[in-house]
Amino acid sequence: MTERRLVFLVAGRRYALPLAGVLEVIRPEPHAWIPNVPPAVLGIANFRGRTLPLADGALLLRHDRPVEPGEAVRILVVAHPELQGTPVGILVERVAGIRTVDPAALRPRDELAGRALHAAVCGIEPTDAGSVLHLDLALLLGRPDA
Amino acid sequence: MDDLLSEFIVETAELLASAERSLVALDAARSDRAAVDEIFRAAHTIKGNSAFFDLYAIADVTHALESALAAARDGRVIPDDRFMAGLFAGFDAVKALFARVKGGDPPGDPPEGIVARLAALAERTEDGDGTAHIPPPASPAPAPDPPQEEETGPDAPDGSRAPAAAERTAPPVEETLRVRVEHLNRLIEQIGELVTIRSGLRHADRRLADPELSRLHLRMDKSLRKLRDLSLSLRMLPVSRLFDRYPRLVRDLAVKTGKKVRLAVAGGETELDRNIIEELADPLLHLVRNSVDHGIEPPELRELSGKDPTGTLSLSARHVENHVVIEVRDDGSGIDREAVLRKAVEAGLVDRQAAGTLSLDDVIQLIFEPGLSTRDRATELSGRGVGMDVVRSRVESLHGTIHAQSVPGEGARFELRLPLTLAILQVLLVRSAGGLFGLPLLSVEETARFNPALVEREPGLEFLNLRGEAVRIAPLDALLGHPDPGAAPRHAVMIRHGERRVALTVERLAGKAEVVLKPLGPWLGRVPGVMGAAALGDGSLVPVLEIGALLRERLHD
Repeated sequence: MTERRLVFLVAGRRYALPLAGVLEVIRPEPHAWIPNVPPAVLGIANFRGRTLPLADGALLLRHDRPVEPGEAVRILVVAHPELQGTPVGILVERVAGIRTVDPAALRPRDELAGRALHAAVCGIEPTDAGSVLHLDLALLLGRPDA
Repeated sequence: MDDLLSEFIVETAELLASAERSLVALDAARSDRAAVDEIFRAAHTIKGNSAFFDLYAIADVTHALESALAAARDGRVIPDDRFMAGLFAGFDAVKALFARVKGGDPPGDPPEGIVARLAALAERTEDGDGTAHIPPPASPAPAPDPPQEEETGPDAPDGSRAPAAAERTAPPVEETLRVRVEHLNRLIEQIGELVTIRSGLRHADRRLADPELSRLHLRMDKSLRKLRDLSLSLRMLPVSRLFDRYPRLVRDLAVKTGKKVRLAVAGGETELDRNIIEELADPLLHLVRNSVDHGIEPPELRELSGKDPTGTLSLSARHVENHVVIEVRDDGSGIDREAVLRKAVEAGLVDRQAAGTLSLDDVIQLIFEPGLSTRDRATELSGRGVGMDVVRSRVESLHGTIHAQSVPGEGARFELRLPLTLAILQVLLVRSAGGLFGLPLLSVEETARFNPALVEREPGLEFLNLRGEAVRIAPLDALLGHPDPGAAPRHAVMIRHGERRVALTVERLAGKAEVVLKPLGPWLGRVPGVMGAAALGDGSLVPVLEIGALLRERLHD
């Protein structure tokens, strides 16, 4: 059984999310900063009449520095049923494309045990261009400070 | 559920509420004839209706209640304490049976012995001597005799007299309609969306500067405002809906705690959005329970202090400008400042050194902090998990504020300020830290230009001299903790913070707006200091701030 995954780049690394969880990919929008939120949360934006919380993908994935501004920067609007389907926006450096994978064929995360991996990494896909870290959306969105 | 049954349920709930009010009134004044009549009427109606639905358990109990009440009304029995206790027990039994029906289950059997107990009440009491203990009804105001003799119109062709046209008819009954709240809520949401779209139209109007568009826009604006106000009024209910529960409750609480409490209610006709009233029920209940349980002292103690052994608890509501103020006040022992401060230091909420610098008002507001309770054991009544911290967070989630005041030995007062409706919020827009923010107008008292040269400084504090009053300055960008302070502040917004005022300094003011507040969503959850987000006409989102929470965060630094 194969699944389609959206591959994106953050802090130079490649990650992937199930395409089914991605509602849209949009260009960066002006957002309003809000106080008293974890550092990964950039603020809120108006997305089709609803409040879209915006998170910095790099900080969310526990990299040291936020996403660098650039022409290729995009927002992945994702939604997970556990959050009642309300969308969350994740800012990423670049969207690389869509890959079709067999989840069962992904390498387990322990293989890269030497590196500190974000809890949401559920599988690793070795490719010619380097490994792609596949993410579990529910774990990624678990808590803004997870 | 069957429509007829739904009607029965709604009507019976109303009748039970009305009967309970009258029961409490009768309990307080045993010769209150109007109360007896009201209770009788309620029992009688419920009896008839429940029989129709084959709810014989309810019919049996209400029939027994009816007989007991008739006996009281006719003077055959005295409504003494035993009688009243029986009536209360009878109605409680009906309530319990009804609750099961409401839940979709059959009522089951009445509590054992209740029917017999009520039947016994209808027996002549030992002292009953036929003397009416309840005064007979006052002779009704003389109605004009139906004109028997005078003709009111031409004779009918067959010679019979035309019916008396001057015969009194009943006064017109108010026309009401039962509407599902859910439909109303959706209607109001839709109108809220329209209001937001209109803001967008206003922007377009300005940009395009087309005279015809402007004209149409102005007309639409007027019409939309009327529509909005009308729809909101549909959801308004008098606060008495809330207050009505308390006479019985206070009576029961007083009996349980062995205290004497008189309840005074005022302003019940003040109207509030139904959704707010619903949400206020629990917090208000907690405040009332708290006053009776902790505030009002036992009668002996009160007497020793020279107070009336019967304590007074007063509930009131009134309109002030564009919001409602609800007050719960008692003449009990007040809030023990020392105990609160001690607990707060123990709980690590307040630094021991800082404790000395806190004003009396600041200390009293600490009762709303989670983890603080001045009673070492939670009593059965007040320790049920709804604490003062929950009261405050509920009130704030309704975009309102709550403030406690107290004079030791004399009593405590809780003042709740609430907007008239949740649907639309009036905010003042301000620019600070490079962004726009909304401040609920409910908390804004006035605005002024800010001249840094006029700031008075004391170690660690800055003050503004406002017409002789020293108002503490709180820069909004600092409150928000934004990394970038932005441009220098040029305006100050006076915010009411409990008893004091605080001058929030901002870069500049950006006008007022009426907005539909949107939640931040489940992922962010409840963010301290942020009430929600509001979309402006141009589509941009503005965070609406909870100033009280932001100022409190600062207090704990």
